[in-house]
Amino acid sequence: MNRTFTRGVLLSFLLLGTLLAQGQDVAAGEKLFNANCKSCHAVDKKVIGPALQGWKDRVPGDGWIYKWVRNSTEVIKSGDAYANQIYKEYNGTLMTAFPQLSDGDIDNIMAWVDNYTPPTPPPGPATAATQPQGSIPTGPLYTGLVVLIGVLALMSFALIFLIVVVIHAVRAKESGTSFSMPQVAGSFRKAATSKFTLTTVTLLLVAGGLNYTVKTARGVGLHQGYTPAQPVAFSHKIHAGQYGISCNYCHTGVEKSKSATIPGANICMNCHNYIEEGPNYGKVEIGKVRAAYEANRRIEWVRIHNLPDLVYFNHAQHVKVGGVECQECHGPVETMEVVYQFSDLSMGWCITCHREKQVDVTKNDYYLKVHNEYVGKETAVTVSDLGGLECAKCHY
Amino acid sequence: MRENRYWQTPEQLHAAPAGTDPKQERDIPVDELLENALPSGRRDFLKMMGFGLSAAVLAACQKAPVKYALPYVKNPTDLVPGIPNFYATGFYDGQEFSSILVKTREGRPIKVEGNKLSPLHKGGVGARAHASILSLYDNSDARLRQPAEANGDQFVPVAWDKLDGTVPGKLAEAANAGKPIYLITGSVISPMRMAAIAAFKAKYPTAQHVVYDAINYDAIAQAHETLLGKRAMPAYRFDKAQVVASFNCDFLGTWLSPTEFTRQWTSTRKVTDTNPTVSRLYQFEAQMSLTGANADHRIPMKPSQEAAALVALYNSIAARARQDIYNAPKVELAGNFIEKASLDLWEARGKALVVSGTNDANIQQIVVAINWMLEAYGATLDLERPCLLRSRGDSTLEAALAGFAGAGAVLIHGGTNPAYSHPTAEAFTSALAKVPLRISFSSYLDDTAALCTHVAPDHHYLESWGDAQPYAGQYFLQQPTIQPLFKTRQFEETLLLWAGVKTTAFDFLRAQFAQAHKALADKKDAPSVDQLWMQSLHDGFYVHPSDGKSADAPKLAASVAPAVAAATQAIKPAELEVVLYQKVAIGDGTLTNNPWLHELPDPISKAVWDNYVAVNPVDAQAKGIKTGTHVKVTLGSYSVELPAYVQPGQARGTVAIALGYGRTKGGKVVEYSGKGLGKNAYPFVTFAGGLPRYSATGATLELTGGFTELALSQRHPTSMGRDIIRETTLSEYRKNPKAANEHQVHIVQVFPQHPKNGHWWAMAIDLNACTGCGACVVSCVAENNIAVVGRNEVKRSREMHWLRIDRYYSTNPEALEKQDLKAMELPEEYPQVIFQPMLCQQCDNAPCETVCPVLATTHSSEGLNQMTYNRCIGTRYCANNCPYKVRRFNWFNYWNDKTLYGDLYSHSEMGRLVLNPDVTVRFRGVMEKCSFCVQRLQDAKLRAKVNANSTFAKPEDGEVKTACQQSCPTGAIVFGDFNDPESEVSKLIRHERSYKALEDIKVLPNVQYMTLVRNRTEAEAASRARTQKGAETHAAADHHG
Repeated sequence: MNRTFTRGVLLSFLLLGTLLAQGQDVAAGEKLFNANCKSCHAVDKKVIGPALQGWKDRVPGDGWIYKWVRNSTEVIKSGDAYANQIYKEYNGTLMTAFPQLSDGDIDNIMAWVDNYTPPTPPPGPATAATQPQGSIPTGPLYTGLVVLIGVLALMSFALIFLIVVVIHAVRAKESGTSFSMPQVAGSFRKAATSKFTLTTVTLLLVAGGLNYTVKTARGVGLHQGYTPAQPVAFSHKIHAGQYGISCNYCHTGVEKSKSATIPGANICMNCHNYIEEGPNYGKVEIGKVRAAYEANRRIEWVRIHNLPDLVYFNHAQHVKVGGVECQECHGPVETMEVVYQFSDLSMGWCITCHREKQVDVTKNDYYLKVHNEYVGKETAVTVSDLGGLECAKCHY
Repeated sequence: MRENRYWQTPEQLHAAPAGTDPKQERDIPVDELLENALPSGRRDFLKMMGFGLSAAVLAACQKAPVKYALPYVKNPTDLVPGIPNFYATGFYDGQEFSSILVKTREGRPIKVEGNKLSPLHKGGVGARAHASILSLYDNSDARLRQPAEANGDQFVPVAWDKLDGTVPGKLAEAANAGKPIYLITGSVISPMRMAAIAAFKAKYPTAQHVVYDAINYDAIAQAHETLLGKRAMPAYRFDKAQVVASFNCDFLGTWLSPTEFTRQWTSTRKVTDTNPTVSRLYQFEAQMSLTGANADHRIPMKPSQEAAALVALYNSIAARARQDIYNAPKVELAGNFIEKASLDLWEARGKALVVSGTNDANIQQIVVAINWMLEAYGATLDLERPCLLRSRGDSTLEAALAGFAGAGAVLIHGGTNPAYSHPTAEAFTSALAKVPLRISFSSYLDDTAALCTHVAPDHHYLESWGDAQPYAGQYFLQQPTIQPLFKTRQFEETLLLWAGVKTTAFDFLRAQFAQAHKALADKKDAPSVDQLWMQSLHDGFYVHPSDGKSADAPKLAASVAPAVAAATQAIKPAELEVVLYQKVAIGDGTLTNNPWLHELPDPISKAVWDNYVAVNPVDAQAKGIKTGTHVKVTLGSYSVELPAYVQPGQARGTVAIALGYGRTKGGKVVEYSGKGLGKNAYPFVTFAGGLPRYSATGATLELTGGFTELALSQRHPTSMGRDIIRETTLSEYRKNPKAANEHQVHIVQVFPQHPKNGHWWAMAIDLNACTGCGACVVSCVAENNIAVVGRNEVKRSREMHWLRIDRYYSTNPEALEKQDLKAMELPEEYPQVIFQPMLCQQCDNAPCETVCPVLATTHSSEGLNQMTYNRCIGTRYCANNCPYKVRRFNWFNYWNDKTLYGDLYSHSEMGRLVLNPDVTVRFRGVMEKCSFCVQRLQDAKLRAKVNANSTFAKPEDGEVKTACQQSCPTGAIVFGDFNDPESEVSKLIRHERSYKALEDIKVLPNVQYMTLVRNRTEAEAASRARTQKGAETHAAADHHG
């Protein structure tokens, strides 16, 4: 009785529309959406399931949405027209049942959907990160630059040649001797074999060689750009980019553990139970995952980001506590068909970030309690101020 | 050194040994190269060197190997890779029971921790329980991987199916023919195992359960049966005793349940401002034991004097209690301590306890009578909820041996090894050979298993389900922490299967549990069986609620007179007596295949990887014996030749030899022992009144002329009167809490202090609570991936332990007073002993930091002295400049160098599974030292940050524990944040008893010690104080001069 009453009240609230949607907990709805729905739904575009915008105009009333979310199979079986229509439209892909969601939860989610505003693209890191740092840039600008330098070099050589010819001609005229081209060539030969030139060239060569050696030596053991072939042609571009699946939907350890964790096949199967075909390889690559899952065989992914054993790195510290975006270190993974090592992962790279990265000590109770000496200070606090450059923070 | 050779096929075994094959020799033509390839000398040599160098550089630049990331196929819901899971389980090695937590990472157990919920240990764990985790990964060849069958001299693997197909038939045949079947186990403390044995006996009516323990405690139960009419071993409550008199009983080291007793006893030893009292311990013993080393008064006593001493104590107390007095032979012991002890005990009656470790029913009867007079029953002794750590079977092994000739089968549980540990092992071996079917359940092909026809290996305890009932009313659960590594099968499962009950160990245990707690579940508001199971599995135990009734004091059922008469008549004074004892780490020898335990220095002698003959210093001088001199001890027809160890405190006319050594079969460490890792002393055990006794009279000792240097981790016996240890007596302390701790140094600090704004990690070590047991050392080894270096390296003072326990003997007071440096080096013949755990002191003015040329050791803003392995170039300046000698150098690549001590655990993939993945494994040429378990600090801080704004925003005081602190049964080590004025550690450091070791050099350690307060009798205390003061004035004069 009580339940029906509550449900009735809730339903009438829902029917009152957007005005009362404010009464629902939109923030809670967002949380629930991210936790449960986001891997298959978006508000403004079709992902695996339909876009949720304007859901109210499409679905039948009378609490249909509750039944559907909690157990869509039953609704389809009951012969519901709209349910069967969607089922057909999505090639018989069944929606995962969420029996744990209460009416209130679903109301919250839908309230959030109704109040959804598309996010403005975040400024800063995401765009800045598209250029790999420290590596040689490529692209039309670079080619243009090289051509320009070449042309300039040719022009300056021609200029020097002309000047020398003119000097010789003037001298010849002044001294009354005849001017000949071999004389000019001799003067060039003389200049080229002079001690000054030889010394300069040798020094330049040595310096260049040293520079090259040091640069190469510093790169030993660093594998920036490492793009190993993987046993399954998994595309982050499709999953993270096109469908916008959040990174930690699959990399579940990223906010808890030192390892972000590579997802087990069971996580793939959350969606690929229903999705058997992909846009790039058809059933081939997805088939590998399904086969591995069914045979209880692990997939041997090639590890891309390798740190030496003497380094301790913890994802939770950086992602959960520090609020670092995945892309800051891993680059634009959402655009990568095959993932490569974006940053060089050198110690200098770590240290630079620890020197520059600012920490908001007021955001975390730990810092408030332990490092309260920084609270209320004007100057920015960096990771290094909190001991982020000390050896035993990463080496033990 | 002889190379151990291992083989997989007989062909390999019989092939020519390496080096003799001409083809192999030509692999590297060194001689040819030297003679022919370098005809023109230096220039070519340089060219080749240059080429070699560049080739090496190029080779080093090769591509890194491909690494894989292997996810689970179906990720378990309760497991996040990178985050450890802890499971409560129980450890029982046939000697001691511990309730433990096992830390697992990605499904593999890596560390044993104490279970702080457990009523027995409250978080303490002994050294053996710590090291037992290594036995799980025991080098793949040592642990048996599958059942095997004897075929001539060899064992060939068989399938379980085959074994299950043949064995029950043979057993049934024997049972039908009326032939006895013997099932030999150690003491069974598990109700589940008892039920399995009962099922087996029900199926085969001729089966007999024989209980055999290498170390027998039966005399105690026998004495209680005779005098008090209840055959039981009481639960000892040292925590309730104000005065304890212990006779040849090492209850802090090895006796019965030492970790538990250590916790109990030290709880009475902690001096607090509100309760400045300390219990008093009199120890009468022959060899210097851990208990003797911690006693307030230690009186050397030969084993043959014990009966007379106990009767004297009995008479003295009986006179006060107005009971009968008996005639007793005169006993000469140093001082008048029997009388003093008697007075103290009597005054503290109801809070007094007398214990004896001698396995003699008559002596134990006298002890029972004394305790009865002291009103100990119901107070410091509990017969109502008795100790069940030792159980009885249908018969003893000695009685069963006679029946072996006509027996159908003998089944031997893996925990017992009578072919090695039985005093008359030969009788056992020859009797066993007559039995047609001999099955061992051992995990190793040990001395006994090698004599069997079949081996049906049992799981390791970390792979098994089980339970334990160490005390009546306390029920502990044991759960697996990993899937079985090999094709082994749990003992109970095998036994049940052969008894015709097809079940799994889990189902059987669960059914047992449900049945056992049915009665309880019927009560009102009692948890359901399922709830109780989950709760017990989580906590690791379940304690039956007490009915609240206090037991009536038991009545004496018989007179002690016959026992007194028998005990005094049995005294046979002799020239030389042999005392057989156990070492804290090795125990009875069951876990002797564990290198961590061999590397743990004996708390008293500081010797590793050996046993030896401990001799009294005066006796040694008279006979020309030095530490290392080979002596041959003969008793009856058996003799052993071992190096001698001149042991201060050893009673004159006695020698002591540790049991548990000299095994020859069952694992690589043991086989290494075949080359001289100690000698077996079990054959010295004699029988008196049907019970084995671990001391004997009438031995002879002769020098054989040999000499072996013992590997000692500490060689200097005394502190030379220096200020590193400070101790006082309770009476002094009561007068002045700063007693012995008045020396304070005030030196101006020129350089600014390291600022510590966030955390300031610090440690306080209470010397009053530390008994020197060494559990912390093994815990540290397991936590920090510390390599085993072997005996020869320890001889060169290259031990790797980050934490050591220094043991100092007291110097002769006269020498101390006169400041005679030469004489001060020598300890007293009967010294006082003090233990001091010594680890990196994390100095704020660290001398090591200033001398490192590459800044590999630096100071952190949290007060840590950080060691950065990847920066270290191995100059060893830091170690040379360390005043505490706590830095350790990797002279070799210990983890992977087989030439050092043979092929041990760290050289196989399997053995390395025990490594802590959060701690770097150090390579050759790198310095290392205690890091204050920085990985744990970082982890605790991170957990606080991740959970900030919710559960706990800052590691609470006591939340972060170092590995040594976690395992300490006594709570001697306290660690925490000194910046938090409310933390326990900052309170302790500000306490009057707190001092810095080597304060005068102003290195400002972040580890502080608390003065030792002994509870000596008044007169003794006064005389000690005088000499102490004398020494201090001298020291002070030296300092200022």
